[in-house]
Amino acid sequence: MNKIGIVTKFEIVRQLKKPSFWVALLLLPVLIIGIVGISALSGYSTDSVMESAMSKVDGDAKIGITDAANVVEPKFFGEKIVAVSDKDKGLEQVKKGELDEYYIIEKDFLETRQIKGYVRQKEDEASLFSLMQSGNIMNILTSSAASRVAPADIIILSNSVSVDTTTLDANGEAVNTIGKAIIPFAVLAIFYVLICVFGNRMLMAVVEEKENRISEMILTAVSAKQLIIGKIIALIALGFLQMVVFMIPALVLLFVNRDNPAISGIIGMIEFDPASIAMNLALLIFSYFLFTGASTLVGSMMPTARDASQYIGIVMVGMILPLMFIGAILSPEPSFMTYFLSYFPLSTPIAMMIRNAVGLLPWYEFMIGLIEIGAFSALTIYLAAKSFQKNAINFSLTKFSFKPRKNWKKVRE
Amino acid sequence: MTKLGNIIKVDHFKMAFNGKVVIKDLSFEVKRGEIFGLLGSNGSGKTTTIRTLLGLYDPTGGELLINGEKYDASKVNVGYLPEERGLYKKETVIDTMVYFATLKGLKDPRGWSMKYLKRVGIGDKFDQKIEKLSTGQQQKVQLGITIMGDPELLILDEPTKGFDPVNRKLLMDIIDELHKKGTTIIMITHYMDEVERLCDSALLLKDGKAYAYGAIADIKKKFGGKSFDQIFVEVYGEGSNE
Repeated sequence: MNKIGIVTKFEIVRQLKKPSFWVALLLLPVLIIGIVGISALSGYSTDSVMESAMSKVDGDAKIGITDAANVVEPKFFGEKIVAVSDKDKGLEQVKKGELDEYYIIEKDFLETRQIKGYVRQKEDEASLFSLMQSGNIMNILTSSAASRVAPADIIILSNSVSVDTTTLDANGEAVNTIGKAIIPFAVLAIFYVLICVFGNRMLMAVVEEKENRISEMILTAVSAKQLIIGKIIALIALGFLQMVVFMIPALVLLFVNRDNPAISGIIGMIEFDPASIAMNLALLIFSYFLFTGASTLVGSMMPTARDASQYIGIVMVGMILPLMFIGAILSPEPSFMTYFLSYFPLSTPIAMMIRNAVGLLPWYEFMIGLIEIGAFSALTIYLAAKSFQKNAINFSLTKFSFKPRKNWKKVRE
Repeated sequence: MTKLGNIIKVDHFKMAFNGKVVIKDLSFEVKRGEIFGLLGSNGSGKTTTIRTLLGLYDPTGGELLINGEKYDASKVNVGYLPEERGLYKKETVIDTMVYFATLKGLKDPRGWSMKYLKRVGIGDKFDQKIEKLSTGQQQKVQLGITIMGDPELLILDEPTKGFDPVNRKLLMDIIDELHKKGTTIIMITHYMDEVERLCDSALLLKDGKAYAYGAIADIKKKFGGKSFDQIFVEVYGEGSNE
């Protein structure tokens, strides 16, 4: 194995051995599964919430209601839920312990949308807990409302209607813009997560030798160029591992929940547009090279991770800039800002990926963008290697002066 | 067959950082198999000379050659114990040693490392993280990395700085052992007794030039038979940063 290979293997193995790496690697997919899973489940039970609201009312509680607005269905009054004709009487019953909860619905409820409630504090409960009791009256009201309207009205009013729109182009052919954009946007999301997760890790990997004063010892065994190239290859490999780890739970989730109306709706919408997907994947790969190059360049110029982390923010902001000007990016009529964000090297990746996802990126612009990202990746990686070589034994931060020509010359030297 | 002649040749070496001249004009040679002392006050340019010799700095002028060529890690096995030294704190002892040994091209990196760790009495610490070791134990690991693969050239920059007496003795034994095997050793040190006891020749660096250079006996003779301690005080007494 050559020395670059030895460095690459060492860097990959040591990262894989770190618990923090696995936490960062798995935390996000687990969160995604959790959030999507919960929302999918809640989507399932939209109808049943209406029907079973009454069953959620605390069975042990005796509830009194003065309903001047007639919003509670009479059939719900009985032994546990009682109608109270007089407000003072109701309050007195709570004080005496004859009622656990008492609610007053005034005549002007439709205007005020307010209900006054009195809840008796139980001996073993904190006073804050009694605030949660208001759920009982809401469940009674929900069940009352549900019993008065048709099931179709419930679906409409609960906002659980999905509208399946088909857009037709000038030739009358169906155009599925959103369906085509889902996978390219997923690719963009992976890139976004990668730059968030890997930024600091890249800095640490590059400055570690300097920070731990190992540079001189290791540079007698391996050249600075071999060392930095080995590290960059390792970081790229770990980045691709992260991509795979992101994709697996997403695919598993989609498969497991394929019968869920919410998920099957999304799956049904997805339209595989190989060209668009391939374009975003190519942009993702080249963009990750660019991000690695830019991050390692920053790290190679700084003596410690702490110093470097102050400057990596500039790279990160440059990368996510298009998200702050999303209107300009999504505009069908490209403006100066659209072109600026599409061709400013750091913002090119995300700007191009968004434009491609929504079908606003012509082939020739994609090619220009890809070449630009590739060229800047090569340039930043080259400069990072040179800078690492030059600053490998720079253990303290030298005063930075804003003299672009002089600094450029120094880096190139 | 043992190679003869000089292993190191420094010819009219000049070095300046941001216009500040550190080395004005320095030339010297180190014979194969000798122990050479590179001496001088703090800031006199000793470490800069070594770093440039090992390709860590580019010289402003002149040539610094090892075996007649610019240093190339793939062509010559150099063991370097720098003044600024550390280790991968979060890695285990054995992983760190195996990594360096693999980079240095040892045939059995793990076997060599385990044998060395046992020899210096920390064989049971092989799977511990470096940060869990005491300073003295970390120094033993650094020494092991420096000498692995029987280097042709051993460069020790203030090797006993911060070493406890046990490790100092260990280092001296290793220097002795490697010297007997024919390793060339360059020592940068402030301990003049070590220079007199160990070195065959030396160079005293002052104002960016060689103030005195030659065999130990010749240098002593030049200074009227004084000890190296006395010579050091005489040469660097005024204006020394120490």
